[in-house]
Amino acid sequence: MAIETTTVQGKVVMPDGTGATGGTIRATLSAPGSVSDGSIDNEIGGSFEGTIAGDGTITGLVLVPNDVITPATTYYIMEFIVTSPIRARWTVNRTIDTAPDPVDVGDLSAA
Amino acid sequence: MAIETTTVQGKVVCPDGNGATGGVIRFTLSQPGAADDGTYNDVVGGVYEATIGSDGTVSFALVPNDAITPADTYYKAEFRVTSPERAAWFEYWSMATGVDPIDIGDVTKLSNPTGVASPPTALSTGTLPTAAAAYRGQIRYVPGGAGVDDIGVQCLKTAADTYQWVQFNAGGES
Repeated sequence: MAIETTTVQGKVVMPDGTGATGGTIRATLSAPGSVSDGSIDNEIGGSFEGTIAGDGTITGLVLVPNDVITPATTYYIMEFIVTSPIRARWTVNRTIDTAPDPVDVGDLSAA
Repeated sequence: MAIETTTVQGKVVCPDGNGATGGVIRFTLSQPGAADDGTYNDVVGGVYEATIGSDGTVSFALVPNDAITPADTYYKAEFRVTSPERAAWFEYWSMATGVDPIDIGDVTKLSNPTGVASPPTALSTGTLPTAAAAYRGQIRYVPGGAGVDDIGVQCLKTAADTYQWVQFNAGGES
């Protein structure tokens, strides 16, 4: 059995309603923890980056949900790094759950 | 279905009544939020710049704040006029879905958005208004008389989601 993951989908949208045209979303786990793969309890920590595609679509942002990580208090520090059409950067703290999967980026719960 | 937007139209005009002839209006959303595009619940954030035309004309679209979750977002609108005379000022805007397009002069301007400190206000008779969400974050003072400290207070939300004026100085002493 592999480690449980949840896919984050949707778009990054600029204030004018159009999609961002480039950038990344960097998700950093708030604290290291452990997660089971069904046979071994593994160490989990660090950061992972998804991509903001040319129409704002989020691609490749697949994360281990916080509700399968021990301790139960972890969350992701999510940095939205928009490089075009206008450089912008903001950070939010969000928790990822096992369901729903995939989950819309706008439906993520604030940590 | 695309993300809901509201179009802003009209002109940026100089004090002499003539249109500005160049510049931009830079919009920054107060905090990132979520908006539905009919398929996904997307995230909205960042900065947008609208161009001021050579006769002052502007025409641009913004995602209205009443289509964004959480409910209390607003835009900081920074006007950067480059010609005929350089000028800069900013406003806090609340965009709505109701009127589309909307004249730039009719956009709701906020005087004290949530989270933006307001200058201290002297109160007559030393009476504070009842603490409420509308005053959240505001700092006020109750002036002391001759030889008596002013009382400094700030409106803060409690864990019970009520509001109260919290005194931050000893105050009231002579």
